[in-house]
Amino acid sequence: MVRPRYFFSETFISLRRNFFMGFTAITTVAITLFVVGFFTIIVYDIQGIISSVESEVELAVYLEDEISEELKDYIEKEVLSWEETDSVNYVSKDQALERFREQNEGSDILKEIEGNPLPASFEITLSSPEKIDQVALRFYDKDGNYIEGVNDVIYGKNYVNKLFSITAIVGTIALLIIIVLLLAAIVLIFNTIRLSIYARRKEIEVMKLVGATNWFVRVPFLFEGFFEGFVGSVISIILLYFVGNFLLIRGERVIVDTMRIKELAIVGSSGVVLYVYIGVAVLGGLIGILSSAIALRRYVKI
Amino acid sequence: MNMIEFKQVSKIYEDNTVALKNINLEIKKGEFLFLVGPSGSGKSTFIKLLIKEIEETEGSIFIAGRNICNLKSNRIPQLRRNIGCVFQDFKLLPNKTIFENVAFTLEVIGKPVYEIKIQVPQVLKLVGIFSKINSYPHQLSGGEQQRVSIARAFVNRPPILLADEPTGNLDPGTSEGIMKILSRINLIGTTVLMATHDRNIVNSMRRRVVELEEGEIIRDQKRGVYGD
Repeated sequence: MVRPRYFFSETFISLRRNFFMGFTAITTVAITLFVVGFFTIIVYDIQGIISSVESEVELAVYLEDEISEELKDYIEKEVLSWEETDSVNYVSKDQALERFREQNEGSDILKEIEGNPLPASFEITLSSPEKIDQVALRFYDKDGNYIEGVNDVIYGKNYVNKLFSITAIVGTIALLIIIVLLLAAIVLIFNTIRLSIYARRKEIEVMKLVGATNWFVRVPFLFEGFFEGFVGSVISIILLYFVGNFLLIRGERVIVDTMRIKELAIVGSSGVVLYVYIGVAVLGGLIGILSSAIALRRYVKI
Repeated sequence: MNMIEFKQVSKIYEDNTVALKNINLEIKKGEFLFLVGPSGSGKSTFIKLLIKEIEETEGSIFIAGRNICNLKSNRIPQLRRNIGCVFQDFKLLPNKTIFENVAFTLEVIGKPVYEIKIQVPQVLKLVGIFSKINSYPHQLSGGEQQRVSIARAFVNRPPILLADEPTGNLDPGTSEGIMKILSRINLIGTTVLMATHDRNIVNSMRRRVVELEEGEIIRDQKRGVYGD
């Protein structure tokens, strides 16, 4: 009962007959999926940028000048034992001064420094930067004062929090855009198939009259939907590969230059792009078949 | 043996029109039956019930002894493969050739290509339209198109052939040719049920006549005529 030749020829006859509708559907899928794919890669890239920024976020714990060696060692050990801790770097008073001199070379401010006013500190980097607030709190006691030996705790609190909320907002917006675009694609393919069914209603009537099973009537339309979705997705992959990559690499260059970030998940170098391509192809085919199925449910009551 | 049997069948449409009222009818295998009556008397409803295009409101319908009322929807195609249908408006597909139109029936039920290539020319010869095998429907006259439509209904050799006003659009001479074909198909053993209000045809054929009026059988006559 499986007649692939029949189904294929029926599919292509129908595609030829409804060329412009099919063309519209394919174009819509191509553009939609291109934008969806492009957004996905951008979101991924932004995440990459953010995580490389995040990894540079550190907590500076300034110590009192008269801290004992034992207390200092105790704090270091304690910090190292936390699971959020990635590394701890002790900066002595001398090293701090040295660094300050390097950073302000040639400046008048150096002349005004007498002795060493700079405190010693621990520079702590975290393996989970979003927990920076919690970690910072551990340097305070119950009453909100610094624990013994600690003079000050500094980290870009607002900066870090802003970063996290931007990530969330960008992600949500991108998701919304993706959903809206996908819906648009579904509606358009749905309409194409519906018109194609309408154009062939006589044929369907005859098919049912001579005893065609429901599946026999449906399969050519499902093929048509799949074909339109799949071809659309292939076109969008080609667009992503040439146009998308070009735009992204340009954009990244700008970001890298302005933000002075050392390393980035550069497009094309990561496996993500491949996953996006595969996802786009699968999505295209699925949208096609799904829209056809919905259109058939409504218009081919058997 | 009864090929078709109606037992107390009624059909009331959703708008409360009573199309058929308590119909009891037995049609034997190999019989040729005219269903006559004015427009709106229930002839088309009768035929639609047989191919389960609509559901009866009450009663039971048996085909070859099987009750088709509680047939599951996925068994309906199987039922329709055993009933050929011919209509007043032919219902041919304009973009397919005569061969393809007739082959369509066989393709739909999954017959292999070599069988289709044998059976289609055979049935086209039976209805006398073989010479037009590669033409398109619009190149044919009304009578020729109806022959093609009969060929399509019969190519699968169903035991039952339903014809709903098959001569409704044709002139008397052409109608006569169509009736000859239906008679021939009946002679092979097919049960033929033809709804018509073509008085001349009914009178010249002298077959069983069942007359409907407002959804009721008011006459059932062997070797009958159209009536007043």
